[in-house]
Amino acid sequence: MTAIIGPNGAGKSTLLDLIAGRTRLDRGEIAFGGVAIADWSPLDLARRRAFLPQNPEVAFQVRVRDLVALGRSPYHGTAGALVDAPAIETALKMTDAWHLRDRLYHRISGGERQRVQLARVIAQLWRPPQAEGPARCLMLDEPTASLDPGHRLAVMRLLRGLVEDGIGVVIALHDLNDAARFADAVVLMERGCIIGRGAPQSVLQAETLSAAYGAEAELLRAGDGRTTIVFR
Amino acid sequence: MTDTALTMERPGERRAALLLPLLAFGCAAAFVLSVAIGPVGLSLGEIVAAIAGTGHDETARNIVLDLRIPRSLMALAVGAGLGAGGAAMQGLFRNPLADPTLIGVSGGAALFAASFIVFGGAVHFIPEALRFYGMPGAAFIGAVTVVLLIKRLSQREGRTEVATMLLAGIAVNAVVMAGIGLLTFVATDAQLRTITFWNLGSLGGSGWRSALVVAPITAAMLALCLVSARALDAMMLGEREAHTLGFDVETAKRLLVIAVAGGVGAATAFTGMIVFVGIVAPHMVRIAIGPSHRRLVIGAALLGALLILLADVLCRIVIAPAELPIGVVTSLIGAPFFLGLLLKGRREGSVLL
Amino acid sequence: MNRRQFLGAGGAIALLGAAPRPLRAAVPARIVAAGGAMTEIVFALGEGKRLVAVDTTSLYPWKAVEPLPKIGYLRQLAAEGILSMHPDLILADVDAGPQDVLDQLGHMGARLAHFTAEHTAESVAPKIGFVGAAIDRKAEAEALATVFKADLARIDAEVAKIATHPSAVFLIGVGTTGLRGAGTGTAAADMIARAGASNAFGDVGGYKPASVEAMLAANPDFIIMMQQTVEEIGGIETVATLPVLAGLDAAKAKRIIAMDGNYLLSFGPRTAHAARDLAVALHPEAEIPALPPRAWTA
Repeated sequence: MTAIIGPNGAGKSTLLDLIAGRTRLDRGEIAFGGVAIADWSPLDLARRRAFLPQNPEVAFQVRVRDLVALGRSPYHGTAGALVDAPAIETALKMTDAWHLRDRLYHRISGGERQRVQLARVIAQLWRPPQAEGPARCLMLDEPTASLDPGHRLAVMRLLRGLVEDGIGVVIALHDLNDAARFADAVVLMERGCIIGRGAPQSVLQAETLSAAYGAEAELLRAGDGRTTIVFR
Repeated sequence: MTDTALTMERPGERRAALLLPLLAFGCAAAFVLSVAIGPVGLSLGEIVAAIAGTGHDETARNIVLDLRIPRSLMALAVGAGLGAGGAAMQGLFRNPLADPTLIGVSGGAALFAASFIVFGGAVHFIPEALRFYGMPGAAFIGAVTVVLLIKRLSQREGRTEVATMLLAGIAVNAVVMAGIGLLTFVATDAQLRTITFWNLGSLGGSGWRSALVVAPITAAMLALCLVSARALDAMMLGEREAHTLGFDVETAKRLLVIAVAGGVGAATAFTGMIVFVGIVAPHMVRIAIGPSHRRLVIGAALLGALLILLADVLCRIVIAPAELPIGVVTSLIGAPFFLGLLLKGRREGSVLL
Repeated sequence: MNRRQFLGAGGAIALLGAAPRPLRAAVPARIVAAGGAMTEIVFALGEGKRLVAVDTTSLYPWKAVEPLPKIGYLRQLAAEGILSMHPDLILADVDAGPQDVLDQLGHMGARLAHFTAEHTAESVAPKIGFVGAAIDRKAEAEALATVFKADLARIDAEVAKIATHPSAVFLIGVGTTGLRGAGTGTAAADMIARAGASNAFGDVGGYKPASVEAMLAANPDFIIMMQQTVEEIGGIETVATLPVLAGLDAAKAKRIIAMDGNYLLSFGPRTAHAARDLAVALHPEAEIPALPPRAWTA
């Protein structure tokens, strides 16, 4: 799991869009699985990487399970469509949204919507346990922004679980402590540039963070040995 | 791994399984009604005899075969085209208020058809057949031109921004209105009457020749909409999300634009501006069976056809032997109904979603 | 019931239910008239009782026309509505339409007599002959046309004697949206010329919007309007004070002529009388003797 962090406007979303192949590059090249992102067919790419935007919008009133089913679109007409039903069910249960399946998307709360959208992108990459298939990558733009602490932690643990299942996760995060706790690697951005990358403990240093965020950062060590980042 | 709680059958599908056949049956019934009812009182027997060719009443046969059936076919095609066109446009714009009239498709068709009436009249050597196909042809070119113009105006970095497209539609509509206004100064009185009549909307001029132009165009348009239905579903999430889900969004949009311009242009050319069907039909169907576009396009086409067939029957009999313009009837029925929907939506806190 | 049986049963019902109607009578017994002049001529030829339906511009003779079914506005006819009157003759004046519907009627086996000539006072005599031929009243039509031509010639002669040629404008629309005047080639322009006046709105063709300023520049001696329009606005006094007209000399002097639109513009047998009435209104100082009342102007 790679977390992209940085102050507002640092370019986290732009970077995610670029590596997801959603925005065309002006210069340079981004490769996914050894192939330039622009050379992928959209459909092949869609079966390997899913993307959850920051503020997903849904036009028209749609039922939660129909919305999640859209995540299975890339498998239409393929053998993958055979597992559409378990994919949708598993994804909804993973995000604790199974009970919402017959509700209308527009009638549920913001946090519930966020979990439903997460279920959609999980369903997009889901395959039965032990099934063979290409490498997969899930990209998320601040998926925990509108969640209460309980669901926020649940989502981070869930993403961690996906990593254990072999899905790469690239996530733009606001919460530095979540980044420190769950990510394997951290990319720190400021004004469109990557100013630090590496293991969380190497990037998340008080001086670096203070400079990047323009506020004095301090690392507090808790009793269990974990570090908590606090801004003064 | 099948959980009985999650069979793929959903409430929308179950209701669609009921509603779509019901609508199809309603359409068939309305078609029969449209052939059976008219100012000339013909018994069912006379009508069947006319169709079977066993009748001896030449007038009855003419009325049924040359007036009512082509007119009903025209109503069916025009209604289906407007309904499906509305559904496709709304999906494309991700806005339930989007309507072919809104982005200027109908306006473009109107301006070009009016120009053809005014300037084509001056060219006397045009053969009659060319004149007949000329006006709808002009309307089609007008519709396509407007759509391409709006696409060009609203495209940025190779992608079409829907908000810009809507604003461009407003601007184009203003230009169209000004253009028609200018034409009325150049037009002769006879031409002016044709333009006015054509703007009111009527199926009164329908014959086999015009019905057989509109019907195949509508069929092709429906096919294109259905081909793009899954892309439309994904576009509920936004154009970029649809692209991220692996859809060729730009191609789908191009197909849909051609479909809507073709269908709406042809319908407008032969029957004039018939308002409200393109917005009411998809909306009602969406409320009933949800926004899945494969079902929605079919449902909106069926409901549109049903509405136009019934409205046209009303037009013919309400003030018989005179006739009402169909736009009057669709507005009178459609507008209050639509306002009711708006109020209901407001009360429930979701304005037309 | 299979399809064959179904259709067979239908055929039997048809044979029992409706005897075939004779399509065309030599002398039409059921006439539908589209156009006020058509209706007037049929009545003038003494065959008004044969009319089974008329259009909404057929307003004269009112008492006889009023109870007849109406087939709608002259320019927005409906094929099946007309056929539902089971006509054996459809008389259509110049302006009847739309063309699609006339084409349909032509294919239906109904006899359609569509009079096509320039819409002027000169067309009235040929129109009378046309209708007379269509309804098999040729002799009566010839007599009527002769009287009409004589009446019109008398008015022409009287008007020719008048030395002055006031200017006039015919306003078809006077509303909040502006003025609409009758340019050249319109029925109103033809009547203005016949009544010995010049058309102050003659620079354009057809009925066109007119700016208030252009009206002021033309400054016509007379304003002619339809009686119906004047009444809707609230009478001559009110018309004269309308902001769009108040600046005109004609409005200040109340030289506003209100005439029945149908009488003035439909070009039927009453047209000679209408021309006289208009000439009298435009030349108050001249002595134009009245035409003798005719059976068709009563």
